[in-house]
Amino acid sequence: MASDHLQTADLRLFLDRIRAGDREARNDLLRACQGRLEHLIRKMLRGHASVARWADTGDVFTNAALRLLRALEGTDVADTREFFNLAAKVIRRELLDLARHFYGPRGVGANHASRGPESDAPAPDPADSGPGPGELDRWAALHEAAEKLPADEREVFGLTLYHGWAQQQIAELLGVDERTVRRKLRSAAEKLHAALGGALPDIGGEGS
Amino acid sequence: MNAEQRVGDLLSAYLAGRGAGRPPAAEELCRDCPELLPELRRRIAAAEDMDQFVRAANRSATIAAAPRAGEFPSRLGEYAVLRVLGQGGMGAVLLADDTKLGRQVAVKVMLPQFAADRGARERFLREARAAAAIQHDHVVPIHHVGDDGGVPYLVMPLLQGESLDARLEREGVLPAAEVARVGREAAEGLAAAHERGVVHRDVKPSNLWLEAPAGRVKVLDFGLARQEKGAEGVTRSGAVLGTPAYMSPEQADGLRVDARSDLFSLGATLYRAATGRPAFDGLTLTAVLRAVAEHHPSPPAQVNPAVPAELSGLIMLLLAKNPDGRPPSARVVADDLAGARVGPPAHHRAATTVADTPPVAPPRAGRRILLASASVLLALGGVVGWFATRPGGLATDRGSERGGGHGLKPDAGLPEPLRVVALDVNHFERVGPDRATHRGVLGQSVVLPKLGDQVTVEARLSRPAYAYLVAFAPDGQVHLLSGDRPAQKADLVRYPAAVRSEEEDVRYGLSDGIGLYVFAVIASDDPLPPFEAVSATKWEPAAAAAGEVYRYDGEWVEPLARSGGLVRGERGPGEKALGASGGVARAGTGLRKAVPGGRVTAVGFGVAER
Repeated sequence: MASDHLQTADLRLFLDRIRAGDREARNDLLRACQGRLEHLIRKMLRGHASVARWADTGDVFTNAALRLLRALEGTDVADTREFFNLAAKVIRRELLDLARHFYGPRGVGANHASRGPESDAPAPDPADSGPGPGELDRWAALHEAAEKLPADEREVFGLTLYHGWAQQQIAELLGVDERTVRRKLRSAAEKLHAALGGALPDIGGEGS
Repeated sequence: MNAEQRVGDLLSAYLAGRGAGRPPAAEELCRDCPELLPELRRRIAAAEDMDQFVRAANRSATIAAAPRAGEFPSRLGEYAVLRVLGQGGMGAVLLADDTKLGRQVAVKVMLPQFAADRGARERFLREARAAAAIQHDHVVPIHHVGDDGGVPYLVMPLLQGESLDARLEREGVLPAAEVARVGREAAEGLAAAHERGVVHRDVKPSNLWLEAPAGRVKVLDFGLARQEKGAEGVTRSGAVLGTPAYMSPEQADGLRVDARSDLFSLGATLYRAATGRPAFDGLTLTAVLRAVAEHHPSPPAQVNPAVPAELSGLIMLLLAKNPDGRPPSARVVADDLAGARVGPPAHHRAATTVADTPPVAPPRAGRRILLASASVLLALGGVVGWFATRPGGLATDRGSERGGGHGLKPDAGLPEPLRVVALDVNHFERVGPDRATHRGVLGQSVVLPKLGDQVTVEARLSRPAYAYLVAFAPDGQVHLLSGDRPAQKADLVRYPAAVRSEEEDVRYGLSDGIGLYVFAVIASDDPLPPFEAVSATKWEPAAAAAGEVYRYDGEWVEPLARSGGLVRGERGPGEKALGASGGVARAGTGLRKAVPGGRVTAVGFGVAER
């Protein structure tokens, strides 16, 4: 699969290959998950100049991707639905961990100030043109709220956000009609919106 | 129908209309129920917000991973682009005409979708400039670093010749003298970079260029590897197995890497060149990474008898799992390779081969670390001191495993030290009344163990020894898992003892309460005391949250995971550890007291209420 995004036609073919025990299909699947994780990390850390001071973004990708692969390596892909749910969970945890790591209460960036570490004012550096600490907090809140959704809504939302699937693809995987997917997604969206008090992360309109 | 249901229906009607491209006005929908209008407006706004968010999250996800040549500008500064020479996940190398100087050059350019990110663009330029500052005969020079309309690029000479990778594909194995020469020149290039504080981080055969006609080494992609590792080496292209095979264990573990990581990668590169096969291999990425962390490859001289012992020993030294066990710098490696006895080359290939150097170079005590024989080892007091005094030296399981011991073993005739190579606790999550699913090794999996789940435990030793496998449960009980007092030595001890782990009833059930469970192995060269002596070990259960996993190696305790997220680079002496990590260390210490001289390793983790 050349792209990190599953097209509907690919997906069907793909699930057939996995069910037939095709090892390469499994690797493709891992790569797709990896691509998606990387994409979301880029979105989350978009323009976050201060992050680059603490960690090389390349390292962030590599480490997150390695942990994702390790976690998924031991799982049985034959049950694709379970696999995608686990992958969504791993991706969510990885993103949450990153958000906390950089701007959690004890994150490496929490006490970042342009005047140096001894400063008692943990203000973000004004030179950081990207989103501030609050932005990553909002991401963390979103991932935490997603964790608390009812299982069926979490699954649909997870496939949407953490795997980047279209409603039609989700309907196909779950064997339900698209309306059901839309209803669950809407309900999940309302819960998340309420949990975040409407303060969604600024994801930006441009590509990563 | 209550108000909540009605608003839900109205919202559905709104979204359906919007989906069809004709969103109805909220007022219109609420014509018969104006009291619901504020609530409907609020929920429409929320739905729009979320919808916009999800769409933005998915935007650019459909960008094709491989742009075509036409997508690059036809001109970058004064360079006219002719064609694409090669492409990775994040950048491409273009053949271009230097219109001012009238010569062809190679231009490395960032792919357009990455160049759109200002931060990524700035990092590319910053690191390109750092790389450009390294001027050395064995590092490919960077002529120019530029940015044309938001597309960053750097200009290198168009090199003639081929990569070491291409040469190995063609020839399989290089003659020993050639391996030593390539290693020395690469080490000299690396030393120049390290002395400027630049770590390459992606040393591998395809990044060592052998310039025609003599095959002089030019290290490629300096500093840029740092950028590309995430996107190209592992996460984007199909070449996931390419780079990890040359990655150092600390890099594969996500720990901070320094110049010594490049030395490991150089060792893995030379291993392949000397033997024709990778030092670390596997069918899957995880298998390769595990091999990097745990596998001790056979010394090159055993794989290919044409490799002289001295060269073989140095390659093994470079492959020490612990960075402290490797040579201290690239400069030392270059010097040692220059002095290494490699015998006459099979084919006299290039004027610069080390065949011209004297067959036996005089050792420089305290600096030379290449060990050819036990007598050399004993003659070099400084070297012995260096091994003995490095942090976590030969006394610890990990220290000896990761130290230079492996490099010494084949030549020095020293016995393989007894150590615990691995202690894996495999987690099986209970997913039904009589069904459990394997969730991976604790510390690597994100699924948290809960009361009623099950585990299997496997300990591997560096060589056969007497060993007990012991479980410490949160109810204060200490259980022997490995059966009766062993009458024979073994290098593998596990629970269940036979490979029956698919049978659920023989796995260890995590049903002794919530809190900290510790599984430990104690191994000894001498017969073990009766288990009663071991089970009398004082064990005070500690609290631990699910997601916390710690490992104790007889000296150090370190977190393998904490609350679902891995924690990197934190470890401390076992005797000072507190909380759950202290509980793991105390379980291990208790065993060591019961079996004097024994090697212990313990893994402990928190189990939560189901």
